Amino acid sequence: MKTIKQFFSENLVVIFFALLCLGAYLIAGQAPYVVVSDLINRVMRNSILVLALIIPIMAGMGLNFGIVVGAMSAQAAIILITHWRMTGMAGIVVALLVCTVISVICGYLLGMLFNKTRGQEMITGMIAGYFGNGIYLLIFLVLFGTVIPFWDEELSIRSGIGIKDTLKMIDGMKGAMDNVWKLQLSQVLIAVFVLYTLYMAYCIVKRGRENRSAVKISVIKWLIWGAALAAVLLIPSVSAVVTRCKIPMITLFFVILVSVLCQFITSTKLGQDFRSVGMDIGIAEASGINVNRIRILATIFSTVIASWGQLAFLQNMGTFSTYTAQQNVGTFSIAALLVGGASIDKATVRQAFIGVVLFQLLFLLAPSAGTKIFNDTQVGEYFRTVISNGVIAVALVLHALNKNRKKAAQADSI
Amino acid sequence: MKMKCRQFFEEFGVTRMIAVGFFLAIAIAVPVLHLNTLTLYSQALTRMAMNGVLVLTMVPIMVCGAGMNFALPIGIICGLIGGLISMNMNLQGFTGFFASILFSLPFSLVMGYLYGLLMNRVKGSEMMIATYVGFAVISAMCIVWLFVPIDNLVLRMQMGRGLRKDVVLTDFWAGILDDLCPVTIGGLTIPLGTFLFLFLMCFLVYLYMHSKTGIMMRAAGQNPGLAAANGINVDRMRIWGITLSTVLGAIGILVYAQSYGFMQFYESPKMMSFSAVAAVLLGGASNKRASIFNVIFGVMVFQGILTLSMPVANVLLPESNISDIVRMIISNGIILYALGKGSGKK
Repeated sequence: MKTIKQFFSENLVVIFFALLCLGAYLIAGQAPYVVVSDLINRVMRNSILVLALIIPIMAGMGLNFGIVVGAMSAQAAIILITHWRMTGMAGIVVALLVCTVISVICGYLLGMLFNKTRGQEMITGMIAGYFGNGIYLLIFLVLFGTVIPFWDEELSIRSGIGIKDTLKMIDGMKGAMDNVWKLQLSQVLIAVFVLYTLYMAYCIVKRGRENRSAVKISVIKWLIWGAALAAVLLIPSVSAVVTRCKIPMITLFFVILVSVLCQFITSTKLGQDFRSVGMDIGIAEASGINVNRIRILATIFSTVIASWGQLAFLQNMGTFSTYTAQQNVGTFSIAALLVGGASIDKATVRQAFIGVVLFQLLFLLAPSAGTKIFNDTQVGEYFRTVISNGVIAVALVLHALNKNRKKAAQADSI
Repeated sequence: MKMKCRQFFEEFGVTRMIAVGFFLAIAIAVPVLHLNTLTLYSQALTRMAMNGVLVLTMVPIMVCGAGMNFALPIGIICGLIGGLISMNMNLQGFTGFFASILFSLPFSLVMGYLYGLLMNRVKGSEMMIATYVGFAVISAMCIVWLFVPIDNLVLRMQMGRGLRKDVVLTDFWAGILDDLCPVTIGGLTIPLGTFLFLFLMCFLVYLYMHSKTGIMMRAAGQNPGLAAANGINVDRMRIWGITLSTVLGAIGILVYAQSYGFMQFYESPKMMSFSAVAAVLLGGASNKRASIFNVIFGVMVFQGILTLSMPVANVLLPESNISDIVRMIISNGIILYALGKGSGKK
């Protein structure tokens, strides 16, 4: 009983949003196949951006609103490869290299800025995003074609100065990563289950002898998952959806790779340093960690992952507005992470995925649900911005309240 | 002398000097490039006057120690509500304008008070929270604007329900202060009415900041611990400063709207706070210090740059919207500079 209560109080945010999603789904009344395939698409293209937020949180720098800068480096890389007429996987690989180089430089500068404004990283990151946007506009709208010699039939504005404000990727680049290899959702589920079974067997063989009850629990877990999978595959209405939906495997591997990086960095020396800086800067400094360097590294990691995320996002979209595509990246990714139950000083890969699924589900259902209730499409659109801004505002307030309460308690105890 | 010069430059800051230098350069470039100097200068003056009160909102809130007012949208929303009520009653001319201010007061007082209470709970991270509370209020109000009951059909969207995105003020009180007593000196038009209103507001704030309460507020902002030891209720001072700032924000958007000729609802006030913050910082304010002089000087330089850079840029680089780019780089650059400096001292 107590554990159930604890479960509810710990996952209050997730439960609230899950109920909200359920309600929106029931009201919207969209076909399940449309919802699921759209959701897969959205989750695939958004999750890396959300994962980019985890490392700075670990290093105690709060929500990194500066991932917008990483997003802009990806856009710059795409402009370049479109100019070089590169397509397919080669285009993606070159774009990855270019955006990594740009975002390492940007991340380094951003990290130095964060070190100068310790304690105000979040607002600094946000303003740095706007400032970076100005620089980005300056480079691609003014300097390209004047100071930097550049002309491209497809890209340049007719006057010769600047890049057009809508960038359409050349054929073969749209979905270059997604379209290489696609599998049915059902096949992926079965593969995941097989892997899970193997992992379980490995665990039982290795550690099972000493711990009988743990084996029992894991077998029961395995049976439940197996039953669930069988149900999904055998119930006709569900299995029709599952077999029709396709999953882009290369993108999936990319997402898994990044999440493994975020998950297992904690077990490296660097990850431990991130942790200890995040716990207490003073203690970390006293124990001989170069705090400034660690914070810069955390920012670089975050910026680079964000630029990969934006690359995955844009190759999925195919067309983007050159100068505004990055604007909502920060707010939406941060809101998604918070919806998953993360807070400003603690976030895990699991929370990031739960958050992306719930947030994107709400995003895709809100307009049609709003139309059904109020007979007005705009309500749903505004509702989405209310949710994303509101979630961030509430999380920030709660965090500050908590921090000040702790500070007061500390002052009292002294 | 040399030391003094150096100290002056250090306090003035590199970013600020670049901005002021830039302003002077384009102000000189306008007549040199044979542009329509007098019209452009008149436009610049109008924009200075119309933005003045919005920038003035920064003074009380920064002095009382709650940081830059990124939650200006809250005040702006209150002003919009006041304006909406008065327009819905079809009040015109001076009655309409002052009724708008009057109707906005109860909202801005209550909202300012609540916002002040919140800010007292979250000391230390006011700016970030202010920004997102501002954004959240703006987006929540977007839904409210869609459902607000309106009697005056001029305000309603042509199709469906809800308020228009931009309401034209020509039938209500557009230019009520601008056209009050415009002074024309050899082709240069000065919107004296708006300037007088701005100076009146500045004077009132000046008086308030130098009254006993104002001085207590300053003490609370500069050194909360010491102020509390001297028997000043720091939290209450902060609430007063924030409330005053919200009230000024409401008045500010009405002054802005009368000069602009439109009342903009929905998402347009979202980014207004950044320009206002940048202007006061450009004028020489720092995290906890802001004076009337900073406001006037800052709004002059900032709005001057914005108005004059566009025509100058169009001569040098045709068909570019460099003015917007300049605004982004200067305003956010100066905020970053202030953030770096503010935290460095701790």
